[in-house]
Amino acid sequence: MSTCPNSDGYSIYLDGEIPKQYETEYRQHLDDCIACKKNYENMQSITRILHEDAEAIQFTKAELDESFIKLQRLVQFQENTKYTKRNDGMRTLKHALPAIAAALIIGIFIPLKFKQAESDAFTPTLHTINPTSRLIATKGIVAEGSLSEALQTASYTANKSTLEFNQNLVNSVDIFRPATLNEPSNIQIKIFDKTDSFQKTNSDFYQTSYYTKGRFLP
Amino acid sequence: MLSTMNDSILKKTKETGPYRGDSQTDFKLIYDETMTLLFRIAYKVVNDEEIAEDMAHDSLLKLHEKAMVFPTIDDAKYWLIRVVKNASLNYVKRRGRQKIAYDKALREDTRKTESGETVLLKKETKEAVLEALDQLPEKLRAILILREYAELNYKEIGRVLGITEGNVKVRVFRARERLSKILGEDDVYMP
Repeated sequence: MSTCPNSDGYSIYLDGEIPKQYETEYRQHLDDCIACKKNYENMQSITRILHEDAEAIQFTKAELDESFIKLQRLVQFQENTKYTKRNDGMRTLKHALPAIAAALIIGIFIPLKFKQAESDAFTPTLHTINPTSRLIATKGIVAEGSLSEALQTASYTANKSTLEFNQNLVNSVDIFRPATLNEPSNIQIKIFDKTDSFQKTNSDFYQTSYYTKGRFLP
Repeated sequence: MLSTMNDSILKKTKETGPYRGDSQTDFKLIYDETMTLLFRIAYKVVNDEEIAEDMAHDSLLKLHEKAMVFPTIDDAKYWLIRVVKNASLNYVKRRGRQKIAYDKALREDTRKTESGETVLLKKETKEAVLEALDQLPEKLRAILILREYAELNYKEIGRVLGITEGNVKVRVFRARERLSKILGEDDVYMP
């Protein structure tokens, strides 16, 4: 009774890699067994087709030379760029430095500069003005806030042309604010004496430039 | 004197080394010996002549750039085959296995004159086999390409792929078996 060898044996046999002592055995079995022979021939024809295909992929001498010229050009290029490639790290740093500088300028220095400008614009300045009580009486000054309160408690002289503020009450008034402006601005006026000058210590003092209701007369 | 010099050159072209990748003479020898083989392998994987040529060139360039030294030309060949095979497979993966119809002239074999019917049947069979080869899983396809197109024996394939000879035997057989199965499903005429 004959037993068929494993199919992988035929694959090895086909490639001529079977150990010599088994070669005759395989050949004989192929002559006797139709199933194995069919299987083997099938494998053989596939291999032959692939071999033929491989043989068809061939370079002529001219093609091979032409391709080598192309390759030599690539080799030359590789030689020329060898050293530039090595400095890749330095080159990256070279490119990165201006980028870092630009980022610093945009991200830190410019905002700082603006902030500086803003704080410059709103730096409280001390102005000494000399208001007279007459101005308030003729409504030459727009007054709101605690000044109205102050007015109620202020004492008038006989002809009402002068106004005397109670110094303790009037410590924070909002003058010079335009009537159109909704947001109250805080202007602090310190009155030392009815005839003396008083000091204004708020940054919004500049808003006097657009007040509409009255005029400030020295 | 001249004859001895010629002899030494001839000797070097055969088996003795070492072969240096950055030496112009050695580089040309390696090129002549391996270019066709490398192109075949790359071409069977990527199915595009120009790209296959680029792949083969790239592997040789790498050998030159790294100034590789090989004891024999065969060692250089195995190294180059490994590089070109991996680069081609990576390329195909990147390209998303998009199939490019390639030059049919390369596939045609007009050496024999046969009856019209047989020629047609043979042509169809060939196309079917090549298509089936493309359908094989990557591992099996690569091993069959190395066996049939690079014409390496089991030992050499083992060296290229870094696997044992026994493993090569099994994979080659499995690749052939799978190929037969695909062709059997399509009921292909086998001459």
